[in-house]
Amino acid sequence: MKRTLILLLSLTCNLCLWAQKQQDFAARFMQIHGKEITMECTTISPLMMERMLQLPSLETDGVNRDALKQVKTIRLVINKDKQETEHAFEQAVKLAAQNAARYVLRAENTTRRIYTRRRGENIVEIVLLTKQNGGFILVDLTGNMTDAFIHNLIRQ
Amino acid sequence: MDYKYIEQLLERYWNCETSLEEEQILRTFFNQKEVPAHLARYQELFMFEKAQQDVSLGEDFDEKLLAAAGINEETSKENPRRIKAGKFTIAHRLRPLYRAAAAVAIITLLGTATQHSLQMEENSNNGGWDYNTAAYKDSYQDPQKAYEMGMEALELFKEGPSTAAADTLKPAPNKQNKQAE
Repeated sequence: MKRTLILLLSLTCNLCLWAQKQQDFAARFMQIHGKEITMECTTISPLMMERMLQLPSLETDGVNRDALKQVKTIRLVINKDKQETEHAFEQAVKLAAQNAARYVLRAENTTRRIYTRRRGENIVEIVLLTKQNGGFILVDLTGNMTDAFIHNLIRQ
Repeated sequence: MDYKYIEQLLERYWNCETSLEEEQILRTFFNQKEVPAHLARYQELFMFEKAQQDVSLGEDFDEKLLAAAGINEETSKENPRRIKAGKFTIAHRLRPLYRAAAAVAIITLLGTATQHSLQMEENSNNGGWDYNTAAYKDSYQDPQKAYEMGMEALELFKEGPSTAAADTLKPAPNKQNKQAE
């Protein structure tokens, strides 16, 4: 009985630890503010990204194909309620500031902010916070992205 | 002589209905020297019961016991053993829990170490990408629709014509940016 209890406790602890893998910015933002702000989150998983790369339209489009190869997941969070836009933007900026060691501000202006998270040589996450057409939009890409990719992504 | 009363008592005795006093009457009766022939077969039983009642520890029982235990009676009287009553504290009561907690801690530590090493291996395969794949639930089942949405999302990063003039992106002044540029 005691041994079974110990085994169960250990399994639970390990499961908890396993579940505590890294969470991306969009998921964290939705977790914290999903109830107070009306938002919709659209997700593309790593598996879907692989399926996307096999699309016939991408086979001829080498540029996009090479770009998408560096991206593993995409999350798009949209808030269309204009009354909540400012609040949502502020909360997202605040969350990024709270995790300043993790998310480094790469570019900013009054309506846009871009943060990146770096691991080693690669950028593993890029977050765009923007106010467009009166609504708040958060785009979160994760993957193994190079600086050149990020540069092209922003400047093109 | 009429032994009907004794026979009735015996009948009740076999049926376990006799009282202690009635059983004593039966024992007294069967301890007589002369017992009628038809009741003589029960005499041995009641005499045995009587004999067993007299069995007790002999006077030399203590000596034999101490000798068997290897204790000298005189010495033990001079230096009697003192047994100290110990306190049973909460710490003593919780001792089994400490063991359980230690076992859990060891197993968790091993599990974490294994997980960490697996994660390191996984990360080296993924080039640093350290997110939980299981946390991503697809919003689209059709890759074409997902592709369209993905491209729209990527387009949002680019400076739009309406915002480019007024809101030109300024690189943030930090170390990471300098490296990137």
